[in-house]
Amino acid sequence: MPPTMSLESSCKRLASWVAVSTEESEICSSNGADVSQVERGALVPLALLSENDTCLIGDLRCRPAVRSRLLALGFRSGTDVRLLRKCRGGGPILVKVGNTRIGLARSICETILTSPVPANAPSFGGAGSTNASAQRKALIGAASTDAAQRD
Amino acid sequence: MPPNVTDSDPFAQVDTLRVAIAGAPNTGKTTVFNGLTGAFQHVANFPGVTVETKATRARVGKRQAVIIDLPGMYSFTALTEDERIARRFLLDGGADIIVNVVDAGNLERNLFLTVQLLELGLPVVVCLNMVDRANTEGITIDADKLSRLLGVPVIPTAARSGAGLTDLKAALLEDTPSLHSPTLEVDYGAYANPEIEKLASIIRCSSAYPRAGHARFLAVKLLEGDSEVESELEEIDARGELSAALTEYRASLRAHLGEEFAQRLTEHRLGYVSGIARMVLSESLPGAPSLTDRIDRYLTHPVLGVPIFLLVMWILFAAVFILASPLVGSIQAGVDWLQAGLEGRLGGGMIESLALDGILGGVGAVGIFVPNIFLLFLGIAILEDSGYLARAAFIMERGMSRLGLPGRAFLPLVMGFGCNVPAIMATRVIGERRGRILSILVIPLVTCSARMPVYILLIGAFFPAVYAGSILWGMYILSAVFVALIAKLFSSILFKGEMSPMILELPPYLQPTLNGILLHAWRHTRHYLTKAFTFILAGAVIVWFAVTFPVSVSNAELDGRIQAIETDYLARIASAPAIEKESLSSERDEALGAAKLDAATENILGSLAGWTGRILEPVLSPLGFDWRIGIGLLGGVLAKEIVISTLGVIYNVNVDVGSDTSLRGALASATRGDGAPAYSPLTAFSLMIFVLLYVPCVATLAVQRKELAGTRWFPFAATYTTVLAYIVSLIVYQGGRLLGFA
Repeated sequence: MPPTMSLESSCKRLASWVAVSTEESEICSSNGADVSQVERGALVPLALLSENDTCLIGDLRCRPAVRSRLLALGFRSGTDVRLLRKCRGGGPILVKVGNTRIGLARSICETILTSPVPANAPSFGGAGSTNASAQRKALIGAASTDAAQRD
Repeated sequence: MPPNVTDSDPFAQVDTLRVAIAGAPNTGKTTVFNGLTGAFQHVANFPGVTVETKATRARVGKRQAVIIDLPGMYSFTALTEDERIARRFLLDGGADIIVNVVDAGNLERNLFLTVQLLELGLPVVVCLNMVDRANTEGITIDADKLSRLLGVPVIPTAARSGAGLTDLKAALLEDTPSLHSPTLEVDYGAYANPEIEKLASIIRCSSAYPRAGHARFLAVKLLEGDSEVESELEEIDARGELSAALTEYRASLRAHLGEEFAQRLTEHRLGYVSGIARMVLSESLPGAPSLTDRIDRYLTHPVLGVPIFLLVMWILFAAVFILASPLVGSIQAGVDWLQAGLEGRLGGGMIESLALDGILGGVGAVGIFVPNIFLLFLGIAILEDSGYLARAAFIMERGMSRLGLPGRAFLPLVMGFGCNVPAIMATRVIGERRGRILSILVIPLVTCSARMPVYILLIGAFFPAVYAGSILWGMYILSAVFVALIAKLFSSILFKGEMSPMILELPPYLQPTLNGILLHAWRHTRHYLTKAFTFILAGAVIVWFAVTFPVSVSNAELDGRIQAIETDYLARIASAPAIEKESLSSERDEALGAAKLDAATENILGSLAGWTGRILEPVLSPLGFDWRIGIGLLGGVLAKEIVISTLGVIYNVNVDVGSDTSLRGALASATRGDGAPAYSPLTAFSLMIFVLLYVPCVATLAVQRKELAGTRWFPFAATYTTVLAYIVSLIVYQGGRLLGFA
């Protein structure tokens, strides 16, 4: 999947969600149903990454309770995740999602599927966050345009 | 309202403002709580690491208020008992106003809970905490805009420095209309919205349901597949109307939104939250790796991590002993001074004996360990507040899972070294039921601070001073070994299958605030003191009565015997030649001493305690214990420290004969009926192991029973430890004798 597409679809998705009317403090969303899924082929389990790798979260294939906890901790598809520490012998993995460090048992990491950071971005060293921030800027842009139109 | 709050809530008057503090873990909730309530206020309920709802009375402006610190929760989907407590409290409308503490550095993630609170229609004030820290990380948040978007007050604070707390208090008092009826409805999409509304109206119509006000939110939770809401609503769903509707709507959603329709609903909320976050947040790029990441390179290191952890724990225990010893010595001196000073001033007889031997002896024997307890909890507070304990849990996860224990059980196990009671309560952070039950079963094997005095006494009496430290350390190691063995045994026999995997947030490192750690340590010490003056006092008095009554040799009878001896010798001394007078008078003193000792021994043997002890003796003698130790162990069920104070009460009666007046000397020189030494180092070792393993104190049993309620595990938990203790002590004592120790 070309990187621009995932970016574009995320923007669309956000723009639709973030139709905000500030006066009413009410946010409307319409097409939550047709959110495009990340294509399965490109997904790699988090457990297979190495230390210092940065990826985007693709899909959570865990049982509902665990998934809802991961979502609450910020593991949302499209978010960048950096692997900080991988304990040997099937030990736990320490990742950073957003501004949060989370220790995960190896078995959970096998059910978190990630997609590689788009090819045009350089590898980590600020790169993952650059990419994420570019994405974020685009999203904020989309959101505020939308809000402006509503006003 | 949960019973634990009602019980301790004598100030729930009509005009009292009930303020609940809710938020995700690691957002600084407890700091906000301390900031709102002021320093050393009495906190009702059990002082744990926020493991139970803590409530305290405080003044907010001119109003009386009760501030309730709820356990941390990430969302309304409760995975752990902790979260269930918080969730139930909020759903039951336990608070007039909710302070939702939000970490400014993790806004989007934290808003997930905020939006759920608002969907519930709860009166919320958002406390945007740690803004100072977020600012240094390049994150700024437009609080006014956030307030407009959410429709509730948003107060930026930095609770550690106290900034913004005045504004927060003001916001609590303000009579904002939006507080009373915050209206926030997340749009779940054209297909789901009508179904949610229909389901909500069914819930609303059910007059039996007390939470009808939360109908819309509950409807969403039902469609999302929240099993707890479902089982709750089943109770009021007598006609099956609700479950029929639910099945129908779920099918319809499945048809429109696909198999993963529940996830679609959650995504709507996430999108909503995300949208708000984007609109109020501006972030600059992070520069160099943060300090936390740099520290973590070492503390979570695959090779160095575990040795560093062991070193940290060794430093903690060494500090507890070294720093406390001068204080322990001076408290001991104070108790001795008091005992000496009061002797003979309380009119002698039974009352004086009860006051000095029973009460002062019993409570004093335990009270001298207060400095150890304070320092131990201070150390644990520093490790916890700095963020290190979460790292320790992370690096120990692999080892823990090999034993069949969940990684999260690690923190409760470490807390068990302080006291088993808060440790068992802390198991509420463990999500999975089996892992939690297993942890509750093995925590009593962690040698708590109450068992330490028993070891110190026995080591001092029976082992050379050079080995004392190593033997004490060995007891801790032994305790850890037993925890590991029993956990492994139980998990492979009784709790087969995988434990739920670890998901653990590792908060950024923070320098603990002095106020915070002192408060933490003080709350636990206060609990220990309360215990010393309730359980242990009661135990000491009971033991005193059991040892004293029924009286076999009354004071009058003893006086008669003494009189007889004195008259006898008086006549003999008078008639003896001058040269024999001196030896006769020392012979008389010996006879007097022996008569007193015989009377005392007769008294104890004839007493209730002696009677019980002698019944126990045949059972305990294969372990090397006599009837006196039997009484001590029985007393130890009230609290482990009572083993010492009981022996103190028993031997106090005898000590004026021996040369060493301390209990340690009395034990070392105690004899059996035939004059052989009553105890050997092997007996002492066997006894230490028995005390380490046997039935935990009543406080621990009570909390085990409470936490295991609804399972069939409590009878097992209460009995297996004693069986284990008996078997291990038997092997140690009999094995030791075969090897020639004794």
